[in-house]
Amino acid sequence: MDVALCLSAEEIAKGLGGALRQTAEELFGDHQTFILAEAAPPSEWRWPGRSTWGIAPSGGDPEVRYRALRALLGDLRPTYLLFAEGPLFEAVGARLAGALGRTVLRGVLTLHWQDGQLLAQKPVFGGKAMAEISVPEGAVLALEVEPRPTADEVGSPPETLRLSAPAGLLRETRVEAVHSGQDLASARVIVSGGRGLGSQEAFSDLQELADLLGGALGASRAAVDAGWASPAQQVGLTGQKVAPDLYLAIGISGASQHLSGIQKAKTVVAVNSDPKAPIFSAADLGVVADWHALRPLLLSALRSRVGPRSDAGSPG
Amino acid sequence: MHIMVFVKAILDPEAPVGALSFEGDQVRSESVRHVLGPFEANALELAMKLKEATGAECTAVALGGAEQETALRTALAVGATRALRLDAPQRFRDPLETAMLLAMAAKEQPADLYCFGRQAGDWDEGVVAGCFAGLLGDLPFLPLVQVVRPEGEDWLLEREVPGGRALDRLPRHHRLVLSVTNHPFTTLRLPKVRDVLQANRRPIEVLPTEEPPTGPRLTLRRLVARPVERRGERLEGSLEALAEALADRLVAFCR
Repeated sequence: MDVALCLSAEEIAKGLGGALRQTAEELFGDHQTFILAEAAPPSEWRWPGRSTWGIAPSGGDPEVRYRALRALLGDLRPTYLLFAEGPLFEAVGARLAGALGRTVLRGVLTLHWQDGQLLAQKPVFGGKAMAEISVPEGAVLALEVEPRPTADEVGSPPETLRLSAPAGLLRETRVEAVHSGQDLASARVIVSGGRGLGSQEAFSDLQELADLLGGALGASRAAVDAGWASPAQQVGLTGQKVAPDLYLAIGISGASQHLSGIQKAKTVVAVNSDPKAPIFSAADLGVVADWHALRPLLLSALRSRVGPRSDAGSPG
Repeated sequence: MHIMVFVKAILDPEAPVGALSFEGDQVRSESVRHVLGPFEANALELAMKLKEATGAECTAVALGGAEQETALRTALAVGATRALRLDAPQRFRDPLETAMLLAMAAKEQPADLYCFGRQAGDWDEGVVAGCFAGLLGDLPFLPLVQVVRPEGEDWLLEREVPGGRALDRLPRHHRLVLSVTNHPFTTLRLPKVRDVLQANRRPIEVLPTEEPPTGPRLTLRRLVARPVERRGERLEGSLEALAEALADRLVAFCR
């Protein structure tokens, strides 16, 4: 069996190559591996079996990424193509599947064999349900994987093959950072606001609360759509999936799409004026109150406990 | 110029937890209505802005049964020039098959620009647009598009990328497939009442579909509801008491 692992430079740097490799070893045992990557392998990368590491140029043009990966694939016909869930798959994975006439599945949480069938589990309906899906040979799969170091491996380094850059589509492209606040992915505390806040001003006022708690400022999709928050602040299935110690949701109704993004939060606290808001059924602690009336009292109570602060540490 | 926008009516994603139930590979949802999917609404708004900016024709296409009419009527109400339903039963479908069926509409009347929502809000696949691009002669595919504006012979695009946005310039002569995400630019306008009433009287063309070629496909085995595992405790009392109690608990949670 041949398996291709497809990796961006960022994914290699994060150690996701090790995670994909481990998945492939556990699922497919003795197999030949092709790595279709946008950067060279880590120096410690060793492989007991035969492997080829193709290096294609990356960059900001999705067309360059696609054509480069397609060129690396060449005449290879791996039984499965595995991606980590992320921007490379977003730009390339499904198009590659369509062009090759292969089926494709993303957001895969687990894969296992049962009675000779490869079964995948993934959330559906905004996280309300988990689907078990039988995956045929030939599939292109994007897996939710955690980084895994590649140190202490035995065997030989992979043979490498380097491609030159194919033609792109864009006349020019540049990336502009749009949110310089605390990183949501690593934040211990997140204060998030939603449509119930009612205005840009009320959303911006949450920053003071986030600062008092040493937290980052997040947003629901509705707050992003209203233009109160940047898309980089969106929490949810299609925004950032977060795992803070404390997630404080203010004026967020709790659409399943949003709830799906906070499942890994240790504690969820919700403030909403609607006692029937779905967010309360997904919260550890709920407060039914008008936020505009509660806010000055809560800020005053917090200041008396933690004092004004501007760093990102924990209060107390 | 011709823009094709793919819309989809889905079970209301804002329905409360428990309104949907799951049994075997079936979803039960007697009290939940169908609404235009949130990301398809973004794709529709982008298509409308480009139609207005370029004078293009815009065809809205949906795949499914009569439940899709709500999505197509919305598209007509906000300005789509034509509505087309590809008649097929509503069920879990392999995304490659979905893309093959949608490609039928593209073959019936090719477009210069194909706009998809980034992800349907029911099966959360987020792969049909890319598959469609690959199937349709490997058309260029741009993911997570937030803004598109014409400028001379070029498109100016903004795309969501990790930590920010990419600002692109590309020639308008390419046929393109876009997946569109939410952004203030793509928040769907509210149609006027008069336009809604007119849209209800306009025809929706129905095109029968043929089963796509068989091959290795995904098969849905079962659906299991995900339990909510939170305590659901409520604080009670006057506003002042709530503020004090909440402050105590927040400080404790942060330690």
